[in-house]
Parts: sequence; structure tokens; C-alpha cells
Amino acid sequence: MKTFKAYLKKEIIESVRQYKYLIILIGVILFAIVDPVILKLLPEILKNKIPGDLSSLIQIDRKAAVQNYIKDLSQISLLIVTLTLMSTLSDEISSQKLIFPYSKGCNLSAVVISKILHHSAILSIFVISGFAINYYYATTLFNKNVITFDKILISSLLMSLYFVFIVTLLIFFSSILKRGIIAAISVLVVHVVSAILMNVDSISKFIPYNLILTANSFNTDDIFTTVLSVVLYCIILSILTVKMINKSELI
Amino acid sequence: MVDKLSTSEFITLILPLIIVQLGLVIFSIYRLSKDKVKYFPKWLWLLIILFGEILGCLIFLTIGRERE
Amino acid sequence: MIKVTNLTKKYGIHEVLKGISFKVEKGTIYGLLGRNGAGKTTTMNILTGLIDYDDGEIYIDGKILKRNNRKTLNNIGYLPESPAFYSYLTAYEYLYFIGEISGIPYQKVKMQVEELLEIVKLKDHAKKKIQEYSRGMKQKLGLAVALFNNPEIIFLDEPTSALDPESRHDILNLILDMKKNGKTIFLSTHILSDAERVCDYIGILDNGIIIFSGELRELKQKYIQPIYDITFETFPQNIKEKFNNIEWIDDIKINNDKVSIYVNDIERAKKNIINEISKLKVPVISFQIRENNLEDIFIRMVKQNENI
Repeated sequence: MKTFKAYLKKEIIESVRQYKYLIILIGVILFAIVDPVILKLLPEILKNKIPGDLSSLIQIDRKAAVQNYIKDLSQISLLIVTLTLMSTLSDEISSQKLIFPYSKGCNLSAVVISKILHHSAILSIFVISGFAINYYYATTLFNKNVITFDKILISSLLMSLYFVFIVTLLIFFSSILKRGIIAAISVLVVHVVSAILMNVDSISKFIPYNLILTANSFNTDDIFTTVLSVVLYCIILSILTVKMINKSELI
Repeated sequence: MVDKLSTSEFITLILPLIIVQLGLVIFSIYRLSKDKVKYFPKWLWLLIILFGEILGCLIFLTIGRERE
Repeated sequence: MIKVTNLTKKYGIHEVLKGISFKVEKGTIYGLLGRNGAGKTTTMNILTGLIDYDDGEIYIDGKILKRNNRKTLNNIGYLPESPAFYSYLTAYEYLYFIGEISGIPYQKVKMQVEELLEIVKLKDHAKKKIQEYSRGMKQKLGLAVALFNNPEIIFLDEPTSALDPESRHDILNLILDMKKNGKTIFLSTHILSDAERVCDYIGILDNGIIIFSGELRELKQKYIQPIYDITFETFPQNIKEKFNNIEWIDDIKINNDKVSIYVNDIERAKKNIINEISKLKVPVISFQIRENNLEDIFIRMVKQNENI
């Protein structure tokens, strides 16, 4: 517990001083504003270039504004988050930063748990705020195809869970791979592969990527299995990471 | 809300974007002047920050700076 | 305080430590000497519980250090060769962070931080971020961290290498101060003059085996052939013939007016050399015993080890 508290504080100071909060905040929230605005401007921009009625080609409404945001979250924001947090554990091990704390009685499991919980909490807060801002812009700029706030809220929770899964996976890879960039690439590979695997109907319910598709469709009737499996994956990954770090040599 | 917004309303809406954009560029240039950089020379990072706008700044802040 | 018997460590098929044994007494400074890659850091990391070992027995402060049981050793302090900190923290913040981890009450942490910063003379810089520190300052901060919570045994891995002369001097004095406070210190180094200055006991590690372990004084007596440097007012032409048949003299080297006499039996030499010189009936300007320094001994021993 004492290690957990000390490391939680340390993570907060680190994230402030290395601008991690700033980068992730902008990386997550930027598109919440940009997407509705661009969608609004699109007809003006394309007016002279494409003849005829644009609305028959592109869907321009509230729903589209939110869906665009979800798309960007699962692509660019995900990339930014992964790159920002990629060295969070591997750097501690490979640059021997854990030796001093370890020789003074630090509990390595608590180090891992504090990192996972801290990053998960921060990402969830940012993602949910992102959706709230996006919702505000979408309702201000568009009035067609109304989506209620509770649906947005559920979508935001599903996206947060997906980000929590990504962070847990990243920290897990970070504990077995020496270099952060390789951990980041592995995470992105898993992300892409799981998107492809969604085409296999029989297993699609158990694939984390289903969270994104469900969030995007606003049809959450059948989400329970997916949520449960992702939570389970996160727990298993955390346990594995704890096991790995207690086994790995710190030098 | 209606489909047609007045110009001033629209500017109010995109004001946060402009502030974030400007603030981030200024902040990135300030860090660029102080920190050691990786991968590219400083002048190239400056171009990335100025023309890459928000994304350029984020890339610079994420991978462009030497942490130690 | 520390007792190691037959310690073995393998990396794959490469045997880094081939069954080393030594003992460190309470309240002394033990210096592990060896060339780069001799296995000093490996030994250090095993003794501090950071890495596992393959065979042998280790007792630290009477307690056995088991294999496959990487448990934190709370009564030791460890300063690695290049200490790594969270360099965006200030020295204050880092020490408080360490204090929080070790679970001591806040008031006590506060007292200790102040005291340690005083000892290592970093108080004026304690509010700076560690990334702005020089190599020497980082080493001092590392020492402060190692001393945190008042450990009985302190392990120092190459504490003075890569430091400028002034910081080196400071660190060596700090090590001597620590000994005065009753600490047991185990250090590794390849700077032999430093070891000579601070160590009471010496172990020489070469190619994974300990080729000597014992008191520095004993080592010097055992392995050196003391040399007498004598300067005469007028050069005694007959010195070679006269001294050649004295059995405790090994060799005589002549360098201008200076004569170096290499002796093989120091005890007999001490008793008789003045007498023999006076027989020459030449005025003496200076007379001095030159001991081989640790560096000479080290090189000789390592060479011997290679020949075996």
C-alpha cells in the first residue's frame, strides 16, 4: 500500500512534468471539437467542386459527428496514447530506475498496479469528457438524427473500457519487451488484428474491438459478453504483468 | 439549434480550437528552444511544429524530446 | 557480517563466478578489486538480492540469502555503478519518495532527509531537478539514498569511477565517515589507489575466481618486496660486489646517484641494512623504503593467475 501510494504520486508528477497529461488530453479531446466543425464546414468547402446535393452523398448530422469522433479516437488518439505511454514500465526496468526503490523495500506488484490504475483512470476521465464536449458541439451544430445523451454516455464508457484494455496490454508488453517502441507496435498490431478478426462471427463477441463497433452503432443490446470478456482480459493481463515483473531481473 | 449559424456564433464555437492551437504552438516552440531533441535537427522540428499544427506539436512533444 | 562460500553464477554456459568465497567483518571496509568484466558487479547484484545465483551459500548479517527468493533486504543500502533516478523529481522529492516506500513515519523521513542532505553536502541543490545534476552530484545523492533508513551494510559499486578528482575525494571521505559510524562497507572498484586509501580488507577477483582475500596490510606484506632507495653523496663504485652476496638482497639497480635495493626478507633487511650501508663508508643523503603499491601487486597477481 505504501508503495502504491508513493508510485501513484510519482506517476502524477511524472505525467505533469513530462507533459503526458497535456499530450493525451489534447490527443483525445481535439477531435471532439474538430470533427463536428469540419463536418459542418464540409458543404461550404465542397460546394463549388461537387455539383448537386451533397447530403445525398455524405451523411451530415448529429450521429455522424459523434461517429467521426469515435473513428478518430480509435485511430489517431489511440496512436498518440500508445506512443505517450509506451515506455512506462520498460523504461523503469531497462534504465535500472527500480533498483533504489527496490533496495528500500518497494513492492513491485504495487508499482505495476499503480501504473495500470493511474493511466486507466486518466484515460477514462479524458475520454468521457471528450464525448461530453463532442456531444455539446454535435447538438449545437446539427439538429438532424438526434442521439440522446444516455446513448453517448454508454458509448463513452465502452470506449473508455477499450482504452483501459489498450493500456493494460501496453503495460503487459512493456514488461516483457525491453524497448517501449516495440511494445507500442505490438499493441497496435493487436488492435489491427482484432479489428480484422471481427469478421469472424463466431468469436466476434469476445474480441475487444467489438466495444468500438458497438459504441459506434449505439446499439448496446448485446454487449454484456464483450464487456465481461474485456474486463477478464484486463485482469489476466494485470496478473501476468505482476508475475513477469516479479520474475524479471531488475538489471 | 438551427442549421445556419451566424458567423459570430461559429467563431465562438471554434475559439477553443484556436486557443489550444496557438497555445500549443507557442509552448512547443518554447520547449524546442530549451530541450535537447531527437531524430531531426531543431530547424526541422520547428517546421513540423509550425506547419504540422496541433498534430505536429503532439508528435514533437511525444517523441521529439530527449527525456533525460 | 557477510559470508560467502563457493558462490557460482552462470549466464548460459558462460561461468561468470566460479565458486568464490570470502568474509567481511563488521565495521570494516572490504574492497573487491578486479578488471572490467571480472564479475564484480555480478557479485554485487547477487549479494544485494537483485539477481539470482546458481550455487553456493551467502550469509548476510547472520541470515541466509536463499536462491530463487528475491526478497528485499531491508537492512542494506546499495549504490549501483550508475545510479538512475526519476530525474524529473528534485532531490527532496526523490528522497521523500524513497522514504514513503520504506514505510517510515513522515516526521522521521523529514528528519532523515535533512540529515542525509547535510552529510552528502547537497542541501544547496536539493530543490533542483535531478536532471540538472552533474555526475558527482548524482553519485552523492545515490549515496544519500543508500544511507536512507540507516542500513548496517552498504554496498557500493564503483563509487568513484567516472568522477572528477574533487568529487572522488568527497566520496572517499564520505565512505571513511560511514565506517566511523560503525557501518560495514562492501565496495567494488578498479581504481586501486582509491581502494588503498579506504579499504581494510581486499579481495581480488579475476576471471571469476578470488585470487586473494584478506587484510590489505597482510597483502602488502605477503606480496611485496620492499625496495630501499638510497642516495649517496658520492657514488659507491663497489656497492654491487659488496651487496651481491648478502642473501636477503635480491637485486640492486643503479640510476645515476640513486641506488635501489630490492630485498626479499623484509625483517632481516630492517635489522641489517643500515649496518651494511655504513660499511660502505660513503655519506648518505637520503634513505627511504619504497613499498610496492597495490597497483604493482595487483598486476603481478593477475599475471600469475593468467599463467596458471
